[in-house]
Amino acid sequence: MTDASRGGDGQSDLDLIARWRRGDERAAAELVARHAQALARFAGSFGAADDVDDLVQDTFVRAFQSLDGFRGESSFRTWLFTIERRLLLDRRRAEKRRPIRVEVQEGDASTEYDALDRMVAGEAAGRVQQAMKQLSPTQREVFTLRVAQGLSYREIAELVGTTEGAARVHYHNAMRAVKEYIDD
Amino acid sequence: MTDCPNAEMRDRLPDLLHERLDSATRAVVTAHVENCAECRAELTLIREAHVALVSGVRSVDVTVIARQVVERTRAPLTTATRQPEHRAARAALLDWRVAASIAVLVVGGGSVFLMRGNRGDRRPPAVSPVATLEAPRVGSSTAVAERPVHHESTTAAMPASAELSAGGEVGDLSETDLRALLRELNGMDAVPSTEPEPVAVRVSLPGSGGSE
Repeated sequence: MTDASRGGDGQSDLDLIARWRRGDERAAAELVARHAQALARFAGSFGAADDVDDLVQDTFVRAFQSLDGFRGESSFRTWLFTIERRLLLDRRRAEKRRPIRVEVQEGDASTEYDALDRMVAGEAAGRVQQAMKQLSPTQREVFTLRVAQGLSYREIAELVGTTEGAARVHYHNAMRAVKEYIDD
Repeated sequence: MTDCPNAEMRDRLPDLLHERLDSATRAVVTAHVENCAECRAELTLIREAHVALVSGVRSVDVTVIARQVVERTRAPLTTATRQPEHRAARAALLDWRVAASIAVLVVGGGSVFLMRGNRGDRRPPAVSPVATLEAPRVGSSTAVAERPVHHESTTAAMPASAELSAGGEVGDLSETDLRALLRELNGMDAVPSTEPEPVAVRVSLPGSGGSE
């Protein structure tokens, strides 16, 4: 496996974190530059569309404010994913509690997103998306983390809060279900 | 679409897509995929799924996010940097509080000790709870009345001069006090008409032939 936590300048995430702790703001900017797009993709793969910038920003702020909790047992990116996932779940819970007021108008961000999504993703990708809707929430999450983010089973297990073996089983079950849907 | 029986190779397909394999492993997996139709089909499916999952995600402005993140986290970082100074100031304040408390205790305790010492000078010497009043002799017999008396009630019942004479050392009295005491003693009856009040005073009665 290659080390995704080392940038082109040869500095690891841990080096940058140490510099940030000493007050070097450029180190923070470098960490953001290194992981922001991955966090945006991660958020997007879980359905976040409108407020991805805010979500990514909040994730970094939360991470930098609680760096003492980062023990370095997983990669920094996996830790960021964990924080972002929690933020996403919190937001979804908050949205569920909020009174529903749906006033969809032409030109809404969500409408644009769907149209853009369909255009870019193509027919094959559209079929995969439909297939993924048949999956259980856990299967979908594990499949997304494995396919969209390329995380290892160990990282997925840490993120989702399960075992490595269970993550592997969820992934293969999800893959089988997607294949069956597409074959039908 | 069937599954390749080589589960290890299938497990590596997402890693191949995301270039998370070292060169040796990548060569092995690539060679397997070239010869395995099932794995090729699955790799294609994984690519399509990847596109489907990330295609709708617009890229974020990393520069703006970095600037805002740094601004939002700058204050806590500055606070954290200053934390040792705050801690030192707090520790110094605590030291001063402890020192002040000790000083108050020492001064207060010393004051109480001195006050007690002064009061102790005025307090009568340790008197047995049993006050003895020797009655005048009748013939050769000596009537000795003994009864327990509480010192404080006794002194409270006495006049000031008696308290003075009973409580303190005679040597501590001034000339004037001594004269007053003697005058008072001279005015006392030799034998009290009633049950005598308990007075812890040894009085010498003239003409009785002994000190009593």
